Amino acid sequence: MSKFSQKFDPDSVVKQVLAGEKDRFRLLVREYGMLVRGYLAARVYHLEDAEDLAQEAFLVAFSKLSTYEIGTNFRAWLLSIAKFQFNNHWKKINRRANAMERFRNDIANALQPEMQKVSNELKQDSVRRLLNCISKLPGRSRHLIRAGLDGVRMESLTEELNLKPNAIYQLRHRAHLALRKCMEEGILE
Amino acid sequence: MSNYENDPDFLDMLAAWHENKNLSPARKKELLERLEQDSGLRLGLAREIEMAGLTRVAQTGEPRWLELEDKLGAEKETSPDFEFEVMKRLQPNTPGYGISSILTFPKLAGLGIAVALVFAFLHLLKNEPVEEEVAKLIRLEGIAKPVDKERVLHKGEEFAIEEGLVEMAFRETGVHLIGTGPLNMTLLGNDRIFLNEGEIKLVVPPQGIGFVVDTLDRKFVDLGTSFVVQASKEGSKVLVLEGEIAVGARNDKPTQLMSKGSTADFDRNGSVKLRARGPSGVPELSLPPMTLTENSLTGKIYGIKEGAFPATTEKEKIKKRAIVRNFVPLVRSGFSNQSRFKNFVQGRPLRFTGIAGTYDNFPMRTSLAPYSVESGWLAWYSGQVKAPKTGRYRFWGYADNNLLVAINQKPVFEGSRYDSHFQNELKVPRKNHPFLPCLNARAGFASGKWFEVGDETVRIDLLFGESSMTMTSGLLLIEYQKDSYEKTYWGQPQWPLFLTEFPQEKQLAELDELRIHMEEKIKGSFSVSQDSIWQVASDS
Repeated sequence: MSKFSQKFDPDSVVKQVLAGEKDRFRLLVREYGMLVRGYLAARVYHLEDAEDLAQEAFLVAFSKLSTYEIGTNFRAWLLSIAKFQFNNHWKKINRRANAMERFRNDIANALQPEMQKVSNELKQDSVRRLLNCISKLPGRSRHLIRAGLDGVRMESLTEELNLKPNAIYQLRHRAHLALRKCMEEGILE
Repeated sequence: MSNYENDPDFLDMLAAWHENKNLSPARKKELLERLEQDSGLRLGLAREIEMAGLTRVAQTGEPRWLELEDKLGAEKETSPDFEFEVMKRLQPNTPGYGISSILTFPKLAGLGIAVALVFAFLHLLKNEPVEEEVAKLIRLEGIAKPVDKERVLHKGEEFAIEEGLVEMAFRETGVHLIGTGPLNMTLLGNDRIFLNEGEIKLVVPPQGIGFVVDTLDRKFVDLGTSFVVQASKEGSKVLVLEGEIAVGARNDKPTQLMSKGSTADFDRNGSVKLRARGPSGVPELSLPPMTLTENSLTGKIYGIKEGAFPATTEKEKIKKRAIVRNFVPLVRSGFSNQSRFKNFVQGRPLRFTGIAGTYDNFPMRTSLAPYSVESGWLAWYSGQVKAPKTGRYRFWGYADNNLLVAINQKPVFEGSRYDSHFQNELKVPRKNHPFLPCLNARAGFASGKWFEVGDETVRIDLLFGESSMTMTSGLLLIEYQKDSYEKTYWGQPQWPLFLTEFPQEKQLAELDELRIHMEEKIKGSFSVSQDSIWQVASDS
């Protein structure tokens, strides 16, 4: 963890933006971009939609920045905007959602308090460590985690690794546990 | 270890969440009941889902948020915080970066080189091997003096070849380097090299972001990209194939960002020449005579009617109106559902002459106008074709934005850009090969799955086009499993262009120009072969 990163003070940046240096808002986007995108990507099926919503969240944050109370929690304020964007998105797509999408939303509703708890648990420092932690994963686990990036889908993965889908979910689950530990402690077991 | 990894309920819910796995109503009810009662399962599932979301976005690089960029205005190139920000994006675990903000790029680079050289020198004095293994040689070709191909390269080690090609992978960062002789470089660490002479191409995966190439003139710091650096006695040159790099000077002049398509020359006197920022520079082929014959694979070009949507300047709304989105139901239905075509306009009938090069002026040249330019355009070619030989084939290629091929109404290849509706909604099995440069794209080539064809004709459907505006490029090649192909500088087989008619002389000359452009600029290539023509039987 860089000492520079630990010193990031959103409030001072907010003040600068409000004083007219709107270019400084990019610092907030860089600092919290992954957190907001991750928050939404966890809840939205299509990554593209998550990226759209994340941008909308930052646009709202930019336009409503004067309503943020200096001295409170900027990260929580930003995530509340992301949550609002997600809820709006779901209301829009709910009308044309199919049975499985509705089931997915039922799961999301059942998990809402826990999802919020997990998001809140996630420290900003830990998020920054994620890429480094992914690089430390053993080969097959890293491949599984990177599969999303490479456009490799479940069908290809089962064929490539000669594993059943459940085994892939198990492997990925173990990789996620290892990543979480690495992000929190800087150690990969 | 979680208690849930062997829990079938947990796994079923993950499958439903990630893959939309179809479950019976009874099973869904059962799962929701379990979820309601089991708080531990809820927390376990929430953690899994949260982490999946984070890993998804962490690896996709920074998104292009044009609307936000518009709102924030132009970024100040010499922002005093720039170096701070770049350093923050380099190695978050390197304690040295936190020492002081007065450590600028040049000073850090100088310090890094000095430390590495002292390190190497001390080891030489002790006559002991350097301990830290940094990279592994993968391939050596055309080397006059034999070098051990299994060799592992160590920190501080100098590597030089007089001729030929070398390919190596950096162990911790996953950075992939291909270089050509004469080449002389020193491996300063897992994330840094000093290039004294020669040309190298780097493909830097997310975990390698921050990789530094030092030359005598400049430092090139990767911010998630693929780029080529050339160093010689006269100076150094850089070409950014995709993504973004930071270029630091040797003095205290401000650091500068370079993005996709940018090239720059730096001479030893410190002068800089930036070139070709913006459009790809990939040539656009002229359209050959479009008279349709019975041997032509035919197609149509579509756009959205002007005025079909209320005017807006919101880029995200525009993105959602892309014509390609309206083709998703068509592909899903096996190319029968044309319900979304009512808002389309058509250009004149097309004759398929391959997908190769840029297509910035294609809609205008095929009389599509007037159409809603902001919603893009799509060409759909369809017909019965016969493979040149029976056996297994697969497609290779890439398009910015959209490219899809279906055989007998089933998609076998999708080589669109990362944000294409085809890629994100259809999920056609695809492999990306970023180390094989295709036109000017970071994604490199994509390949589809193998498919088998016999003596009989097959139906082909080919979709290609732009999501919004007019900057379009694409390349579509075909590989026959039993054929072997000559390889390029980077080791890419020169698969033939997918064609249904052999090009006429003028088109052949233009294709050759495109091939030369690719070979010179990115060392990519393709071939045109009479033996690879898929003959058209009759239109479907």
